[in-house]
Amino acid sequence: MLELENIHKDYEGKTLLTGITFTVRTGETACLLGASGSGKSTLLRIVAGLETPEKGRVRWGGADLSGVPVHRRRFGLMFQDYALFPHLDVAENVAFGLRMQGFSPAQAGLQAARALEQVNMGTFATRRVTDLSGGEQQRVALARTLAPIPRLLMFDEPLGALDRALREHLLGELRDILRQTGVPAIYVTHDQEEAFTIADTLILLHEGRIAQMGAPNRVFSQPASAWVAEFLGLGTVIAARMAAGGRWESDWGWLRPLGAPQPDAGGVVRVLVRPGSARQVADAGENIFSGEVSDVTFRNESFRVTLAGGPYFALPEKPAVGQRVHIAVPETGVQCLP
Amino acid sequence: MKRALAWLAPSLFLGLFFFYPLGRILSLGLDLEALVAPQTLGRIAAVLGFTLYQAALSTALTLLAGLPAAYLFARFDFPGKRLLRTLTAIPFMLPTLVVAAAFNALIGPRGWLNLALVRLFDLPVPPLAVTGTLAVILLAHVFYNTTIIIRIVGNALSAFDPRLELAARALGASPRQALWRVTLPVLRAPILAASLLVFLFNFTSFGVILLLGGAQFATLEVEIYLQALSYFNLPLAAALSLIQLLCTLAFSALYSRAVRAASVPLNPRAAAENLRPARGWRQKVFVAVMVVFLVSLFALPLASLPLRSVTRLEADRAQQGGVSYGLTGDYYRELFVNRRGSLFYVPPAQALANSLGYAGATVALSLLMGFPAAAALARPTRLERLLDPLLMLPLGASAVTLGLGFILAFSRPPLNFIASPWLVPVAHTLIALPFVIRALQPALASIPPRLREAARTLGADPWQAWRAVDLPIVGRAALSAAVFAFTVSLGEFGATLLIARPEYPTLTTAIYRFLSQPGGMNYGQAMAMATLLMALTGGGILLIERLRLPGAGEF
Repeated sequence: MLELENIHKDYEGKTLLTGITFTVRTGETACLLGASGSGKSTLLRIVAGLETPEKGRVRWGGADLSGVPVHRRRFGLMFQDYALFPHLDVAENVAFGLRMQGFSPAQAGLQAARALEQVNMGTFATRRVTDLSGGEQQRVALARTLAPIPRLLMFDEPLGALDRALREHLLGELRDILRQTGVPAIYVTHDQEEAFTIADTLILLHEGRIAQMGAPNRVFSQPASAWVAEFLGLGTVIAARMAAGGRWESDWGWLRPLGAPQPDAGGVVRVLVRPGSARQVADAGENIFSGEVSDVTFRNESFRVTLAGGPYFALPEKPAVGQRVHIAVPETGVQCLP
Repeated sequence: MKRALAWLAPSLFLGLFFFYPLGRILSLGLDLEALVAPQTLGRIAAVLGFTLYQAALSTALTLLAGLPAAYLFARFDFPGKRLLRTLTAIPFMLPTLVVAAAFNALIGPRGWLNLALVRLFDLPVPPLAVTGTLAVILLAHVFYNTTIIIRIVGNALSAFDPRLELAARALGASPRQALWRVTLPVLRAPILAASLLVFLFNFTSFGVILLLGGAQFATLEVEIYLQALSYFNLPLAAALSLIQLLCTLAFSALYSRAVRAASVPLNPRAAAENLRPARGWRQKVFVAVMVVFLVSLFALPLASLPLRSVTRLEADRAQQGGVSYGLTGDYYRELFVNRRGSLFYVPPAQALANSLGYAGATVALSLLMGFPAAAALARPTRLERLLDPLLMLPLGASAVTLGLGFILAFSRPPLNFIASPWLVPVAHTLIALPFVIRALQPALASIPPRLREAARTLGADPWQAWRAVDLPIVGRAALSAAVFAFTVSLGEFGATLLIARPEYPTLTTAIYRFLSQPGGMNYGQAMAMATLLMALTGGGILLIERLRLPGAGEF
């Protein structure tokens, strides 16, 4: 079990990471999600032992790792650009970690061949790594990381450089392998779809801090802040004011947000408007958004309809740009954010 | 702190063996009183004038041969092209002495052509007297430097988008107009850069002029040697060295500017796209004429030398009675014999052994100095960026200047090293060091730190990571740098001639002495040793070519 406790890291005088505390249990895949520059990769490097934090502890099974050098941690790290050794062939790359553990060339070769089979690259053993395609390199890097049987697996945007179809395919394979081996893993990405697919636990990093942590479905239904909601693309965040008469008012109509605090005249809350299950209605009303259509695009079997200066909705039919519309959303589609 | 330590050895070395001798030359050469004598000034003007004249003439002739050749290699595909291209590149890497010997073997008084003519027509004297003329110097310079034009201009030409010419044609330009108005202006910068480099090499030419031209064709470099060793006029030699140094620095600066201008991207095309077989009779004639021309320019001298070293074409000096003509291994066998009356204290084979020893020491020294400097320059701090050109400075000083500086600086206490055989590898190291650093630095800089980190996460300790990642990747570059230093040392002539002790001759000084001795046996031994030198350097060049990392530059 990996524990991070109150990690703090500065970079060139500025705080890069602060107050990072979380745990990864056996069989669990934690996914670090954040924009580029949010310190995700640095956090992985701290866990690997390639960087030292200014404050905080990294523990494995309760034991402090601060004095343990990189090569004794037995943590596998798959680099963003794979970092395959250009002077070694595919099999030699994969056998490298085993050789470092003291296996004989023959034994290491045998196990490397097995690891290559695992990622469907068995026939590539004697190829030069520089001749491989991006997807093939990714598999070799994965096999190289898996072969020495590390205690913890870390992936730094492993699918970043690949095209979409290949990414989805490899993501599925990666999930299977993680499930089979049961090794705890940390997966770093900036792509929320990838994160939702692979994570048991989502950890969202924003400006060096953990913005939210939890199971993907929990994060999806209960975003902890406006930033989380917008970063995950859950919908539009708008402002609602408490008007006289105990009703919430927005620029597009009256609202009844879920989880809103007790009415207090003049107060303002931030409200997440989700685009799903919306429909066009004839008249204005509560939880009905009225406004002029500013943009219509086709997306995923429906039309994404944006109201001027405000929220967007997924509608089955296509209104004209400039038309004034009334769009009703279900009760769960309007949610107050903390 | 660690970085300062890395700089310690190279800077001490350069300080003691380059800047201190340079300072001695400066202090001696700036003795104005001795120099303003009209006779001295006249001599300097004459030497400088001839040096510039022959360099300009050689450069023009090299362009004349090189530009069509560059066009041939950049635009046409023909059988044997790779081989021909390699052939044209060989001379550039050969020691000047081998080139001089090769031309001597072809058209010298004892060369193939003359001896064949003498035997065929039973002439009393060799009919061709080209040695000691300007023509043979120019020819050797063309032979030497054509490859520079072919490489620099040819590379630019193969990256040149042929659609530009087509666009010009579509806009109403004739083929000739398209060439003059579009192709040549675009190629002006690379042509200028190549010409300046050729000019620079011709300007500092030494071995070719000394051996093929003789004393009446004194360039600055030859005059420095003559003034220092024949007339012991050290102040004049120092003054000439200064002039030489200033000139080479000025030309190098011009060259660097031209290179920067030439590196403007021309919307490059894949080189292969421009290639096609010759079509139509004009193109076919062009290709055929160029191939014949290049083969005779490059293959004939290169082949003459080894052939001449195993062929007896004239009577030996001491030989009585019947002369046996034909193939012989005598010249090689003789290298291991110490003849009475030979000017040598040691058999010539000892010169080979000396050369190999010096070359080995040069390799060790230049790697020892070059590695820390290259490692620091691979990820330089701002201060180190400023140090970089300083390390390259020995390139600007000619070999003879270097030798003169050694004589001036180390021939009296407290630094009386001149009798030490170590001075030769030290001089060779100075010459090889800039190249060694240039070979190591990109390799060291090219290793992404991630590779080392990847090795570490896979369980390698720091030492194992260095051995598994850095060593194999840098190893190629280091080996290539070592071979380079080795061949430079083997073939170095200018500095060696000034500082090598007579009791420790090297291959090059031995060849020089044999060539200046009369008699067929001496001549044959010179040919044999030059052939050995050619074989050793040729092997080195091949090895370097095989070790070259893809994408590494050539000049």
